[in-house]
Amino acid sequence: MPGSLRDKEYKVDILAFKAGKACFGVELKQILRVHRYAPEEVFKVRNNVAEVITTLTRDKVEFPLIGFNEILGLADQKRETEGRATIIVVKSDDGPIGIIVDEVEEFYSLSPRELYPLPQRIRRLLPLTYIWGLGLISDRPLLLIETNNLPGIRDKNLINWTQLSTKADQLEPNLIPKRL
Amino acid sequence: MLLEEEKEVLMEMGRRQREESDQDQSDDTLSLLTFCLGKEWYGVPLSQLREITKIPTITPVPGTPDYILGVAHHSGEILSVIDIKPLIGLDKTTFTEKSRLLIPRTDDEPVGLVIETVQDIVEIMHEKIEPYFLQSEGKQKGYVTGQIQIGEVLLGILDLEKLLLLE
Repeated sequence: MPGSLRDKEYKVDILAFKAGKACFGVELKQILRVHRYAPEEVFKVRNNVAEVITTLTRDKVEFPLIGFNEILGLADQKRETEGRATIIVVKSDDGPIGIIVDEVEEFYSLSPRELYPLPQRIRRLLPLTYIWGLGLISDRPLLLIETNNLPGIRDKNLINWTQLSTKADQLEPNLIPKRL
Repeated sequence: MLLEEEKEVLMEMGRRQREESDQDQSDDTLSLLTFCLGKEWYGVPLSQLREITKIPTITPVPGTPDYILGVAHHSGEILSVIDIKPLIGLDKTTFTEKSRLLIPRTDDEPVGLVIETVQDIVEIMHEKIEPYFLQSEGKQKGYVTGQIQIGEVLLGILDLEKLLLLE
């Protein structure tokens, strides 16, 4: 009984998603919302890097939108059916950021025994520490990401935040992906 | 009829003879797991391997060099999975039914080495091992410790520890 209580206390809730051939997990605490968008909902903001930064007009809010595959050099983004794609809006130190992913999978609660550190051999080869660990789901390791440290958000300074009006606290957390 | 004491002495003699025989064999011979990398044949001493297993589910890690295939879970531990071929300058491995993951004995973090096609296990005599030279260029590869001619095949003997230093 104490063991199960302990497990309950220390579970890490994550949302698993696919991008390219890899599987990732982002902590629920870092997610503001998940939804699908159509191309007409997105427009570019002046003075931002064109191919990376766009904003979303839904709910009359703006935030930068980045292609997860693009910033990590993965295979071309897979557009979902009916021309829509899935985005996960996450918190960052500067404000909310939308990340376009190939496919959202499921929510998982991981116990400490299902969490592993990234091997040093691989960690030392990565320019940024955007992977904070591995979560094990049915023998398949998920890469657990720290959204603040993603390439493009942290190192390339691609986002011109002064062009955007939305601050993190203007977005209501909406963890249930109603629009999926 | 043998006395109990005599039986014990005989048993002890048998045990010692078997041990000596095993010792002779390990001194004179070397067991190698053989496989093909590109057009060249290689063998790894079984003594360097902890395990040979089927290819598990590999999660790729973006941003790593092409010889890093990703991470995999095996027997309660996380392995860095490495493709040997790009590490030695060849094209990436194509997975087949005969592809296997070699897990070397190491004091370092566990690692899995993907081998495209595992062939066989052979036992060779130490005395037949020759120094390895890459014939086309006439220079040595540090991770190949020797070579042996088996029939028509020239087999390079890999040192996995030195191979991983290429990273």
